[in-house]
Amino acid sequence: MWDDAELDRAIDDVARGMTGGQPGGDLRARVMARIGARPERARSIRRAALAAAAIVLIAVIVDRAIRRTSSPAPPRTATFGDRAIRPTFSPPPPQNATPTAAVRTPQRVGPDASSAAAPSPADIGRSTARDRTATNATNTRAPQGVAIPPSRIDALAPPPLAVAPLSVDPLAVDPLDAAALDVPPLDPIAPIAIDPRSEGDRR
Amino acid sequence: MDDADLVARARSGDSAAFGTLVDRHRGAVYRAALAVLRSHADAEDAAQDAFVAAYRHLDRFRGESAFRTWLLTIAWREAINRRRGLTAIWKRFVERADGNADEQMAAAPSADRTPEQLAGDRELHRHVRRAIEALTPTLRGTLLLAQSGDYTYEEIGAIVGAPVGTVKWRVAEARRIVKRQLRERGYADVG
Repeated sequence: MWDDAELDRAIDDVARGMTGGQPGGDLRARVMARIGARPERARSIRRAALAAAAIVLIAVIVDRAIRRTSSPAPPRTATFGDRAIRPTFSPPPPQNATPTAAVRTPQRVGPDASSAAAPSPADIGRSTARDRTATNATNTRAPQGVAIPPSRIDALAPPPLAVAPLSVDPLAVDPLDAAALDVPPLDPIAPIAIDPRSEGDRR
Repeated sequence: MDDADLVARARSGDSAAFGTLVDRHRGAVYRAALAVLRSHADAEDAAQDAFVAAYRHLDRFRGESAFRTWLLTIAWREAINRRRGLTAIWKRFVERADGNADEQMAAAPSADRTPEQLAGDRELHRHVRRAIEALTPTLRGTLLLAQSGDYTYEEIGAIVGAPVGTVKWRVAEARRIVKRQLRERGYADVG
């Protein structure tokens, strides 16, 4: 038979045995190796990133050089008198600008088939990409008060659109005939008399 | 040189100072991990990871507690994370199926014990071990830390993140459960 103290002692012994022992002698060396390996790894990652950035930079420079040699670059500035004028870049008109107007127009405009291609009144006030191109061509950064001779770019601009103002005739609506809406009065209903219930009905 | 000085030097890039800290606390860190993992190899790996993690997060150590306590807390968490890993779960399953070799740990031989008594001691120890292993991880870890003799109750409280009163209750509760199981096996009329 075991008394309480012996059981306590057994628990102490077993618990101590379960957490007993020492780590291997090379624990410090392994820890130090991992600690030392980290800066080296970070350094190699940094080096790889720098190398990749350098490769990208070289590729961009070579690409630009190839493009410059294959196609002559347009003149970046135009001389005007004793000043240099930088023409504004005008993007080509988007492909869907005209078709969109053509699709929308038949739903809004009336019977005149010839006006189907004309823009709607709402679109008239809007400047299209082509308009902007023409405007940009003339709106170079010239000093105020200096007369600018027309350039060759202006010659490429399309002539301004001549659109007749749209007019819509008022709708012809017949006035309502009030007499036709008269409702004949209903027949009067005779008053309904209700007799009180007799004693026999209450059962 | 105390821990605070070594930590300051390690922070300034002196890895040898951190090596001294490793030598100084390797046993305590290893046994804390062993209390959770119960495998020497896993405990050693966890101790190694804990030291590396401590070095990398040395700037987070604000000196509010002793460096050793902070280190043990890291080791405890590292061991718990490792225990929750799938590999550790599989290992425990296999060990249970094979029977644990450490179960053969015998009581210290004593000149005044007869061979029959020594055999009885071995049997008792095996049952105690099984009862301890059957405890919940929280109770078992706290009991093993307390019985290892390496840590104060305050340190254990900091490691497991519980007040000292809770730590003491867990130790007493663990002992009570182990004794109850032994009583059920007919060891003594205790309780």
